[in-house]
Amino acid sequence: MFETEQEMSLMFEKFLKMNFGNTYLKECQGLFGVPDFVFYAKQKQEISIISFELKLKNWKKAAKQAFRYKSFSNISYVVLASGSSKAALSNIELFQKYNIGLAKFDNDSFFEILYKPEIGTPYSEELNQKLVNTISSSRKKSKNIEALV
Amino acid sequence: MHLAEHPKVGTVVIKKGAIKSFTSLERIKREVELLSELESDFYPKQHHFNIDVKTKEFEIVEDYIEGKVLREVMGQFKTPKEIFTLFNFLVKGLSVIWDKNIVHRDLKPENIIIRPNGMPCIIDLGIARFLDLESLTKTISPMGPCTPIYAAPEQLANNKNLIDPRTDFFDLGIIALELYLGVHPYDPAYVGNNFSIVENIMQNKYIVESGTVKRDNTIVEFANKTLQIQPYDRYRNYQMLTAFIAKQI
Amino acid sequence: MKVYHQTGFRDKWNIESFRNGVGNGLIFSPINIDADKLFAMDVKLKQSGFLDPQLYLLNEAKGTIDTYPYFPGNLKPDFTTPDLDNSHIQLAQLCVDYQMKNDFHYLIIPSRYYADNPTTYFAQSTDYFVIPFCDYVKENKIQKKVLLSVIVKTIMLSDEVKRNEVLNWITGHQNIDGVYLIFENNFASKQIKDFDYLLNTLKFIKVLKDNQMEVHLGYTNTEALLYSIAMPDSVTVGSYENLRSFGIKRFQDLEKSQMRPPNARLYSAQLLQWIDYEYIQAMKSLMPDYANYFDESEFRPLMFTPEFKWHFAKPEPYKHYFYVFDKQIKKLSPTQEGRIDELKGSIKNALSLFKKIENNILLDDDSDGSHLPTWFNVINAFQKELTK
Repeated sequence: MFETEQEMSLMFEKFLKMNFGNTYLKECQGLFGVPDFVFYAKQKQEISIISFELKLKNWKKAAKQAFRYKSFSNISYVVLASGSSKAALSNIELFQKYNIGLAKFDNDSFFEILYKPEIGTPYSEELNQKLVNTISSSRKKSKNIEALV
Repeated sequence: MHLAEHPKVGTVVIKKGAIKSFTSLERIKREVELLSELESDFYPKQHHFNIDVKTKEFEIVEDYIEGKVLREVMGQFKTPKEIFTLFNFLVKGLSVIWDKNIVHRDLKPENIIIRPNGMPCIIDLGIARFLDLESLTKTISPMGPCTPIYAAPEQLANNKNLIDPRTDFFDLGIIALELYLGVHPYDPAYVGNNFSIVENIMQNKYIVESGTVKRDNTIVEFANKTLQIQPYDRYRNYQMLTAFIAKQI
Repeated sequence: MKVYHQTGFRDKWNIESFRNGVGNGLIFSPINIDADKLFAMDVKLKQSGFLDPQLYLLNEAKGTIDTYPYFPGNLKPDFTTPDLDNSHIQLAQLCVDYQMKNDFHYLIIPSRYYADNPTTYFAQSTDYFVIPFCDYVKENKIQKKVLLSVIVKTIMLSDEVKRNEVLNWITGHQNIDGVYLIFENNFASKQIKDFDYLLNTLKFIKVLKDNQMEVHLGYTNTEALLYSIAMPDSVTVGSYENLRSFGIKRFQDLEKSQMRPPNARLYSAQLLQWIDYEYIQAMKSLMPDYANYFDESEFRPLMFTPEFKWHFAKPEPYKHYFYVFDKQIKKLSPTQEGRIDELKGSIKNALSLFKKIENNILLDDDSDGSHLPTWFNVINAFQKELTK
């Protein structure tokens, strides 16, 4: 199991890069809350934003933070260390109710989506636009986005 | 203490004693000066006051007051109206020193003379500030083994920071109840426990009625507002005390 | 019950609101306003309020406080506590004179702040501040009411011995009319959720009111509504959080003070809470009737337009709060029982409104109603105290 959130974050970063591409921002400031990872995927003219909140244990706190990211994201995920995902699973209705994604991740880089939310419109056009403006000049490409969305 | 005849002023009382407390000599001297300037019927005129720092003794010479000590005439103040009427004058007299930021510290029936015209006169004002805890908690009394105590919790705890006019209010509360009930309200024999008077005061255990005397609401209200452990739960100043008393007479 | 503006940075907003009839007066802040500028101000702005002398750290020259004649550094450079021995009378006189010159409604006796709790604190405060101040007022036959400023530290609420000490000290002063009371707030959460703390503050206020003293509470936030059931004489409204929650850092001249800009939030009288504007955006997306959860004011229409750029430098959210909260306080029942019943009803109503919101929005701990059940319990506990 992960000893620290930092350890989990480093491993998750590697996992993201390998499986989905370099198209992410880490601990982005100036939004609503500070998401651990903001992943973006450009499809034709549209940019989809997927945010991730990583936590070792506290799924409820993670869910509240992940909800905040829906202000600027199309999808928001809580990623829990595998060992703690059971408690979250038994409260899956909360994730369903608020349309927040739930996934588990362990130090073998094993990533499993426990609840896949529906894609949505960010609540804050302004914040979303701010993010899009930061990203739009990037030429990086994403892959396998269907797995998340 | 003894009586003497002064050639100019007549009968005087001379009190001599040992000073046990030197902690606030400056304040004591200032108070003594203020007291010697008092021109009030509620206090005997003080003619002479001396503190000998070397021998650690004090001497007070003041007018002798005609009348009877309250202890002897407690029977004259039994009804709430009689008690509050007396207290009305008593508080008026005490306000003279409270206004000067002086606390009596030793109010008890032995220190109040009832003049032939019924007005109270407060004596022993100078002595209290020299007494330490031991002296305060003992007094010569005809009541035998149980020694009556007229001291507020902060005096018993020797908490000098807390001594202010509200300390005197507490003593007034004890006196009021004792006048009404005929017995010391903290007397364990009546409270019904094995503690001493001092311990009962510290624990806030007192009676408001005895076998023979039923409770009176105004006396109870007065007692409950003065006999609080914390000064902040008592009347804040004598004006509030006076306002309550005035309503009862 | 009155409402004073706790002014500080951006006091312009408070002054404009006050001119428009919001609040009963202004509490002026020397660290934010130059002494001459304050003196030159329209006396009508000053006559209903007062000055907080802000000598909390004695000689810390934060902001414009050193422009004031009573600032210790102006009496002697490098002024320290021992200097008070020689200068306390002069300091008191200068402090009274300046306040009199401005014709404030109340005269305020300054107070010092210590991180720890020295045993000589009360005795020193009496000797260095209360006595010289009151003596000077008496000598000059000044008729204005005098309030003693007191910072109540958390330990003075939780520790019985300390609490008794401070209450006996305050109530023992015969030449003051009341207190300018500040409850120190070191909580991490934006609303106070500590049951014991809140109950102890209510009991504290009650003791002072039972002693027939005027009680003016400074640096209050939404909890002023809760405090209202102890019948204080006034509470405050402040713009930024450091004016709605007392912390000594505000008075420290820190070289590298890291000021994180606050998120814009909007106060709702119905919800008894400040809601982060991003949650309002979410409510707008998910709840067609979202505007009904917020109060009417002349500022609301503008704030709820799509073009409104929410930012902490915008006056509208704060002026809206001044107006709404002032109205909320003024509507409170004049009786204690009435207030208790009203507040219980308001809390119940707020909780049911939060339930509706939380059908759609997952609010965080600083925007939700998680403080309300505690407040309800505090009210019940205080009610029991009143019947003792």
